[in-house]
Formats: sequence, C-alpha cells, structure tokens
Amino acid sequence: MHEISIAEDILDLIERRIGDVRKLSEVELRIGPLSGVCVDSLLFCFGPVAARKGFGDPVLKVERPLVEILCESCHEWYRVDDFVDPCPFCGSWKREIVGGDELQLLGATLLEESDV
Amino acid sequence: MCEECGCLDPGKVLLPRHGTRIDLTIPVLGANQDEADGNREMFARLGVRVVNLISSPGSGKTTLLQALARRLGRRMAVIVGDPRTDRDAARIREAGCQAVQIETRGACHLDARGVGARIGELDMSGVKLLVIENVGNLVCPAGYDLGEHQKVVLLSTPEGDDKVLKYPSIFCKASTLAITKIDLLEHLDFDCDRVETECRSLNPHVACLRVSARTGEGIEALEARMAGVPGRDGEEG
Repeated sequence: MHEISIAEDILDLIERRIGDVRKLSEVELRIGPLSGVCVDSLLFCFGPVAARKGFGDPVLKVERPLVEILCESCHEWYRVDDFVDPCPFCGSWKREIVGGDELQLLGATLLEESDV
Repeated sequence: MCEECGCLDPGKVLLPRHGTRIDLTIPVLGANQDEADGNREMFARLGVRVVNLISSPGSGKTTLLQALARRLGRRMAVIVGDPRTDRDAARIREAGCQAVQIETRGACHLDARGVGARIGELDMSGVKLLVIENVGNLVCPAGYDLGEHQKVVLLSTPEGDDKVLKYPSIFCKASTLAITKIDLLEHLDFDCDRVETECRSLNPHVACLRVSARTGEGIEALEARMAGVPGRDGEEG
C-alpha cells in the first residue's frame, strides 16, 4: 500500500549518494517476502515516480530471496516463499525463520551518454 | 559528482560517469531506522515502556486501550494514528489518559519521524507505558520500526482464525499476540488454538493472550505483558 513512498525513498537515496538527479538505466533491489512490500505494485509505480523526479525511465530489477527456515524438530534447513506448508522433511510446524524481511537498494546504473 | 563538479562530500559516490554502475547496498528504510533509534534513546531517557499496537481496522485496538486507560490513568499515554479524524484520541482521553492523534491524511502506517515529532505534546512525568496505536492495517506497519520495545498484534475473533499465515510479516515480528473479542467465541467458528499454533510456527517466542475488553477477561495479563515484560525487539530483548 505504500509502494509509491518506497519508490520515492529509493530515488532519494540514489540522489543523495550521487549528489544529483541523473538519468538512470537500471536500479537493483533485494526484496524479501516478509518485507511487507508488494513487488508488483512497486514495479508498476516505479517508472512514473522516477520520470516525475527526473531520473528518466530506469528498469527496476528485483532480486527476491526465499526465506531460510530451520526445522526445530528434524534440524533440516529448507527454503520457502510462503508459510502455508510445514517442514517438507518431517511435517513439523516448529520452525525458526531466518531473514526474509530484506528491503535493500543494491545499486543503480547511470544511463550511457550515447543513450541520452 | 566529484569529477564533474569538484565537490568533496565524502558521503557521495566518487566518479559516477554515464554508464557507471553505482554499488550501494543500503537499506531502503535506513532513514526511518535512524529516526527509530533516536526515538529509542528518547524513550530510554524518559524511562517509559513503549508498545507498537498493530491490527486490522475494527479489531478492537481503541476499545482495548480504553479498558487499559481506566486501569492505568495517568501512568499510560497514547499516540494514535488514523488516516482521518481524532475520534480515537477523544475516546482514549475520555477513558482517563493522555492521547495525541496523528492524522496521516491517507498514509497506511506511522513512521518513526511522525511519532518522534509528537512526543513533546505529552506530559511524560509519571507515564510508565506509552502505547502507539498504529493505523489499522496488518501489512504496512510491520515494516516500520518506531523505536518501540515490542510490537503487540491483535486478531479479533470475527476476523476469522485463518489470518496468521495470510499476513506472515506482522505475526513474525510481534512479541505478543492478543486474540480479542473472545466474549463472541460462542457465536463464531473461531479456533484460538489454530491461531496460536500458526503464530508460533512463524515466531516460536511469541506470547499468546486471549482477551475481552467487554468482560475484562485477560486485560490484567495484557497490561502486565505490555508494561513489564522485555520485548524481543527492545534494548532488553
């Protein structure tokens, strides 16, 4: 629901780090399934927000890590992108969730001069 | 910009020419995190326990706070967020404790800066428990640290017992789950055990309580949990 403000936060961070508003060709993010961010909504709104703020029309690349889970019953590790199924090895619901709430800006690429 | 504009700001990336990939690796909500850390320091100075209260609209956050306000009076203060109106703050004040309303004008969650900016409106002398009643929403508030000691999530019986795994983010992060409106259980097919089992499957350390603001059942236990028990995400946690 707040993906527009997330898009603005991302572009503000890039502006702060490069010290200017510049046309971008690509922005890379890592967004975990527990971040509370809807990736489809962010992909939908990012282009218009970037254009309005003067960053051109960058492609948004999103890395979507799975959540790592340690089964507390059989001590096997497994990975999921949702939580509706129990441990695939022993069927236990006892689990420790590690990470999954990542919401990281990984990088941004400035548009090639020849493309401007 | 340095090669082009000559600036020497060490916070900026050097030599970003066209076509250059700039490696950043920074948390998108880092600015909120910094504000939350500032709030945490302020709360420590004030010697107050702070709860971030999160649930969907209509699950009973304000009614529960009215019940707590009648017990705690001036020892509790509330900051409450809603998209519009000061109705919740008015209800909480009527029940006997201080309350400040944040009208978010549409925003779906409170952030650390918005909360920190309003603390000064409360007289914190004698206040032991500060509750931040978030905007009614089970998704967005989960991502924003406000500097609290613990998140308390409510799930009311009329909402249904299948909600935990639908909204995993908040149920992973809460230190306490309170099932509210348990006085309605006899009228509903709501399985409290299912909710608590699923919540523990995401979050083995969560404390589970069952409460009714109407009958008073469980309110004392919830008060003790909010006011005294160290949270997972607090400085004592």
